[in-house]
Amino acid sequence: MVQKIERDVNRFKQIIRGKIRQDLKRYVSHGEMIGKQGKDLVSIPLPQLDIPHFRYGDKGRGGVSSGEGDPGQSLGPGEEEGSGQAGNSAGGHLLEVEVPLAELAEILGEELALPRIQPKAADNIVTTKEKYTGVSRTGPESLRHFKRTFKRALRRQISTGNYTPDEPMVVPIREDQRYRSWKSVENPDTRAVVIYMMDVSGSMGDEQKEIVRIESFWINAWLRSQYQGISTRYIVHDADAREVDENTFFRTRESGGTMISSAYKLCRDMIAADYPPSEWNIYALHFSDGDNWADDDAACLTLLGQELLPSLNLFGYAQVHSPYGSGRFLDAIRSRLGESENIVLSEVPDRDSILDSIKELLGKGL
Amino acid sequence: MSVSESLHKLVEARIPFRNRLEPMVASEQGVTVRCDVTQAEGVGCMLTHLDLVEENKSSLSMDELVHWAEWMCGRVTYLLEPLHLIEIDRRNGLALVRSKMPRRQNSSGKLSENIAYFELVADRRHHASLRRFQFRRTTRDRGSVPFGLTHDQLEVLVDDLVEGALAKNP
Repeated sequence: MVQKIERDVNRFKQIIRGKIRQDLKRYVSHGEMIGKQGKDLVSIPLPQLDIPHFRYGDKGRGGVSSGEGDPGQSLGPGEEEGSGQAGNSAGGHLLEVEVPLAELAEILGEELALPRIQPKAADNIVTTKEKYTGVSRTGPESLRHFKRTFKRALRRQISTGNYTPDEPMVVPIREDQRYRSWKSVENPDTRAVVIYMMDVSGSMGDEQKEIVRIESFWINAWLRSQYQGISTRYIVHDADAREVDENTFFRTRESGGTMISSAYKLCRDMIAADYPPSEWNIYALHFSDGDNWADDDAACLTLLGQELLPSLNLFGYAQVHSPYGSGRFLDAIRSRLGESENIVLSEVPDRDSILDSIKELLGKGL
Repeated sequence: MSVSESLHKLVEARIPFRNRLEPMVASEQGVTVRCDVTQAEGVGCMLTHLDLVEENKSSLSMDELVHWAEWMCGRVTYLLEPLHLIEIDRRNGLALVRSKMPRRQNSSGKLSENIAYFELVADRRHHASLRRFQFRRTTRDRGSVPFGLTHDQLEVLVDDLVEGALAKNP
């Protein structure tokens, strides 16, 4: 039977989900929730939602009563003239609710009508895990089940009258020994890795990096909801590429020129070293303002078409508009490789376009 | 005669003209300036690009190139927007300088979604190339567009580019 408090909690959760859904675009474009991300939960400020609170009644504190009154006299507690002054600080409460990342991803998926991902390696990769499933009479001493063994010994001693409660001594014999037994369980394994690449050359400003940060947060949330234990790698590049941690990825700024091919080479080497394409679902997502040095485009397209795309589930390229507009690299990819099945291109002029871009990148369900 | 004066004389000799491309080349003391002029009249002219080539000097080191680029950003302050150095390509020995605040304007000068900015690419061989680009949001294309300078501005600009290119540490 569902208790009333549980019904209230569920209703409260539904209200929160509704609010998040209603303002999803604002949350996505402002990125305010990303800074409050815990391990599995995200704190979301919901300014329009009142915190549930007790309200005292008027019982025992005056009110309408019987008795004589004057014509025109109002009933109920009168309004007292206040002597206070207007405050100068912000009023109201800002409720912060903690929402599991998986739930956020679900909301995102529903809102954007994202298709579920079909992992490519699920059928041919099987991992075997040993699982303790029972108890047996034989086994190695290292797996002896002490509790069961002593229980058996106690039961035997009581039934044969060899147990004295005043002098409780239990001595197991060979027949009492019990051992843990295991079973091999075969699981289809869907291993996945996302390799994020970002142009951090001088033309990518702070706003462009913030857009990338927000977009990759949501993409990550969605992919995490589709795969268990997804790996994430980060590559930054200007004229040279290097692997960095997540924190550095979003905060680095270099002054070098833009050579996109350097990132693609590193991505290719990373895949060759750590992620056999037959066993891994590999996603490569690249963000840039598209201002590649002109003579590098051909090298990038060759790398992408011949070496990267055959290994990838999905290659996503999102071109963020910089203060100087949008570069030519998007058009270069579109003209040479736009027809490829596992390539998705997107343009992000500003923060308001992030949701559309996410939909473009994840809409294929690869 | 300086190369800027030579160029000025070349332009002046063809004034007035419009709607045609007049390539102009002026060379003095190993420095060559090339530009395509699309329109010229008494006050000023429209150029599609302005290139400077200095043939005889040895290559600059990357530090010297950066110094040159930064010197030009500080010196060339009379264009539509101030310039700043945004990228150094050490592999190819290039410095990329652009307008600090790209201008959003349309053809009638009103604010619009079009973005226009100057781009100056300098390399270690004392070459510099100035162009103006415009990005049109509606068609999402970016291309070089002519830019206007008064004759005085053109002369000073050429002098500054030459001075920066000739001096190792301007």
